[in-house]
Amino acid sequence: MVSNRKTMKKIIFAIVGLLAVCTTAFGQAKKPTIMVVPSPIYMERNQYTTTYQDQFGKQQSTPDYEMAFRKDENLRLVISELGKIMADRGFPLKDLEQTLRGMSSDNAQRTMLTSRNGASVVESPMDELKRVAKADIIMDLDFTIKKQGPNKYITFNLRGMDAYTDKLITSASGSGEPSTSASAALLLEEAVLNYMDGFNADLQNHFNDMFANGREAKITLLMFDTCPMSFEDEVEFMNETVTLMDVIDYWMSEHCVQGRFSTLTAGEYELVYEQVRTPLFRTVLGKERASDTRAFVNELGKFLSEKFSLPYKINTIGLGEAWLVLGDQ
Amino acid sequence: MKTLLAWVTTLILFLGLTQSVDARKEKYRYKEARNYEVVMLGVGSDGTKVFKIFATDKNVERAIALAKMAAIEVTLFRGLPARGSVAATPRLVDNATREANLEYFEEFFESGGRYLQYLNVTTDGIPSGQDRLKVKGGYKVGISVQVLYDNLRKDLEADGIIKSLNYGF
Repeated sequence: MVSNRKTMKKIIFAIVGLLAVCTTAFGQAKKPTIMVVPSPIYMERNQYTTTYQDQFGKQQSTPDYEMAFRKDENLRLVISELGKIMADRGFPLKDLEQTLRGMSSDNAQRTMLTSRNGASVVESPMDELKRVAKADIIMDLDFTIKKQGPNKYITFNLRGMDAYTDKLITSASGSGEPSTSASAALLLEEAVLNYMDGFNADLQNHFNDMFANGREAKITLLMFDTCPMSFEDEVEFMNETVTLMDVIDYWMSEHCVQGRFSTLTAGEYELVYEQVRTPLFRTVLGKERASDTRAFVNELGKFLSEKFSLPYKINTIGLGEAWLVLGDQ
Repeated sequence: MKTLLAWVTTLILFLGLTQSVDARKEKYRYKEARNYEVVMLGVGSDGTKVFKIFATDKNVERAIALAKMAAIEVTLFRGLPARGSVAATPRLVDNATREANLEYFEEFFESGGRYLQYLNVTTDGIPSGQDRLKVKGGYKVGISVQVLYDNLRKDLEADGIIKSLNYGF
């Protein structure tokens, strides 16, 4: 009886130990950011645009989000409702209005910041370009308050897009019940509540697929004009003469989850891969850590640098997109 | 003769008792072929679903009890249909998850069990008129319900039955 108890205790300790190991071994994946962005058609319809003449004398217009947030209370209400639901599901939204405000305050501080000796903050043109409001998943929002006789009703269209692959993850659209008495705000609130469960169920499927098959990414390989070779140059690799492009394809098939990727462009100086399934975790110093496309591309850069002495530079676009530029640092 | 009668009575009582004990112990099983009718009544307020559900059983009381259970069962395992401007609601639990957690759902759906805490019946009193029809084999009863959808989802997530949206991040 006593030996049985001892065995039971051992088993319980073993299970607890195993659970502890599992918890530390499998960390948390990098969480994508989600942002609601009014669709260009919404901005155009409500004239929240800035028009200018391009270098060819043609009239162009771009969405003016700051103007939209200043003037459109319905837009703010819908974004707040969406934000409330997503926060409740453990995904607080990145707020476009606040991001834009933060960016303009950031810009002002950067221009004013000087050292004691009068030096100012250095920024490359690329750094400046990168300072835009962005997220990993865009919730593209469009809605209209329509009138039919004394009735008001809402047409609603919400699309969840992957910012890097431009793939439609989920969508919810339709028209609400016409009403003579309900306010526009109430109808909009109802529209959001009506569609969000279906929208989130599709989003959940997208995340399930990501955990099973890796994060879908886009990877671009470019060359500086100082690079001594092109992607079509022949090299010796594993006792065979193949092109540099073949070597990169080989590395990709070895390192992508289930070897899944497809080539979009294969030129002399440009290689673009899409639908690249990158692992969510990688082992660093014996520990599982969350990974992203930058880390994946860095591994490829290291490999090419070791094999062919090619220096490289990485340009990170986001969680699911990065560029690897060969031939310089 | 009297002794024989006493024996027969005891036997009948014993059989009746064991049968009722068995009936109480009858385990819950989800049946794909169960015939329910769901009519969406509108977009529910925050985190709820409102619909009318019809169920058929031997008598009105049993049909009402079945309709209550069916309201939660449909929300969990089938999903709610679209109607007019009301969008469809996807099911919370897929077949594989249901099969993997049979014991959990047995306990969840036991008579007077946990499932009732996610349900508000909005029909007043005993259903009448078109909501209480005599059909072959019993009564078809319709009740209007409000299912506390978000509470149900959150509790299933907390119990580890379904994954939350931010699971793994």
